[in-house]
Amino acid sequence: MLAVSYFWKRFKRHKPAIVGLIVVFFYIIIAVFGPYIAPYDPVTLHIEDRLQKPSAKYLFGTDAFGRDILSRVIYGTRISMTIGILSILMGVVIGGTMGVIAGYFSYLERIIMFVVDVLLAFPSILLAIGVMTILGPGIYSVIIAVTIRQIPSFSRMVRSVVLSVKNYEYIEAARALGSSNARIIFKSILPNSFAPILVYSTLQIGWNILLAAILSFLGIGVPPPIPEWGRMVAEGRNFLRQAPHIATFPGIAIFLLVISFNMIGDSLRDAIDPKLKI
Amino acid sequence: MALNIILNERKLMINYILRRIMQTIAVLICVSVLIFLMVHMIPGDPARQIAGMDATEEQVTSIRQNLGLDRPLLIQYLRYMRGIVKGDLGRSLRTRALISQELKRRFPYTIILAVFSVFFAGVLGVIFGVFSSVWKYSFFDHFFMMFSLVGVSIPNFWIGIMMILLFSVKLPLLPSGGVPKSFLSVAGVRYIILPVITLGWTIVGMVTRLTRSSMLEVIQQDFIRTAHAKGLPRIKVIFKHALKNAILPVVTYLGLQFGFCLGGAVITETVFSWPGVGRYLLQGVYDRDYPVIQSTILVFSCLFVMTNLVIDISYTFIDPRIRYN
Repeated sequence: MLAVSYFWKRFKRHKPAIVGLIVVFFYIIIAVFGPYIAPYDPVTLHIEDRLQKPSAKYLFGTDAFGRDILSRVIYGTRISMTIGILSILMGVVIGGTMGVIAGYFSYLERIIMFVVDVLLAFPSILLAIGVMTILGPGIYSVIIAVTIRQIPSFSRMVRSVVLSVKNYEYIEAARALGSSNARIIFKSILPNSFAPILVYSTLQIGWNILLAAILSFLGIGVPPPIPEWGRMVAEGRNFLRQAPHIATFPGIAIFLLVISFNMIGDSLRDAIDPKLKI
Repeated sequence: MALNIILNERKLMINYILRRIMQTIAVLICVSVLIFLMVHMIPGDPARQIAGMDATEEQVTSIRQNLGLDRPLLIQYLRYMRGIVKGDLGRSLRTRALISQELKRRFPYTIILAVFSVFFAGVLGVIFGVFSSVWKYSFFDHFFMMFSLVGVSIPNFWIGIMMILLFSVKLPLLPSGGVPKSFLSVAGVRYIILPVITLGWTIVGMVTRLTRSSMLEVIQQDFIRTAHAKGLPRIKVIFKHALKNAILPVVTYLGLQFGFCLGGAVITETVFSWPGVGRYLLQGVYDRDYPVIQSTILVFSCLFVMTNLVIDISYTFIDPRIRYN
């Protein structure tokens, strides 16, 4: 408890982190209560009101099909937060497992790190595009593509943490006392790896949300009429002259969420250990 | 004794370089296998796609046999690799054009975009990073750090579209897309400004942070204190002594980012209708053009891996403090 309060004291000294936390909390509220907050259905067409500028009736205006942009941005929050959080959880579990095995069992390290090197040989976006081409458009396909993209970096990060922790004297002592490998990993190594994993995960959530938006912008991510922010920006591209608001508001939504996660991640890193090389 | 040490270091360096090259070859072989398998997992029948929806089963079977698609996967892979070695990347299913010719035509555009973006990001990022480190904790430091955070957080496709809105629609100063007949003119350069800023924007932020942290480490060194004590002008100390020592990790990072720019060019080329390889790949994805997808991802990955290898090896020559064992 003392460690947690000490960490919290250091964390809240960073004003940007508090702002980031408030903004993320705000987004979570929108994601959870979106259906009750949104003034209109996000997919209902109001053809007679198409390409309306922001007004009292449509706060963020309407798109080419008369759909309310504000409602679509609100519903899009659920999509982006779901993709961001689920992909991080899956990345931590799969990538973290690979990293722990590679770091702890030296005879498996070479094989696992070779697999990681092969995955890292692809530029991130191209790997995601390749996976989406196989799986086809859809939210779960995007989650899988984004997860696969980050597995190698998680593996490497966790492996390097495990490599340093496993040489500590208390690990040797545990081994000498007859603890099994599983017990050492779960009771000693993983708890000490938690901090860098937490920092790295927070920094990666923003990038995962960005990547999902990129895939949808390119037309291979979340399919229409699901209101994904990247796709909304792509749709707005064709109406920049007459209705620039269509592309503007979803972009601002992406930016604010991603920068908030990045501010939290930066401050977490400084609060936990400024010398942490992440 | 000293000669023995030098010879030993040289031997270790050569061994390290050879090990990296062998590792890279192994990675590239696995990458080619993975891409081949990925493409074969894409739903749909390429033979049916070529023949058309109205073709008979016999026509589809005949096309499948001509293309070797009825052979075992291993044979198909070996035939494909034999073609790669000869420089034959196959033909597009949609246009029937040679993919190698198409890549030769398009690659210069992608390379131009990547090179200028890295240059732009390097110059701006280093300047911001140096000022940020020299005026640590000042308003400028906080401003540049916030700028770098914004840089990595803002979606680059959105910033590209916003710049089109501002500089092409509202203030018609710059073209919204396409390429000029020649880049070697003022009119030609105007076409590259927005795409370069869009692609390089994200890297500026990271370069700023890296330069700042690298400069802060170097500025605290004794030799900088000595330079100040000798009465050298501050600007000379910062740019001639400190930056020269701090720039190495930044240059390495920029080299690696060149590979990132090759992949990230897909987005920029889409926003600005830039006729590069990224757009060619995306069109291939839309058309389910398997040979195009397979070949372009393979070529991109090879370039990415080779760039990383060159950076790794050049580092062994540049920094004598590295140990190779």
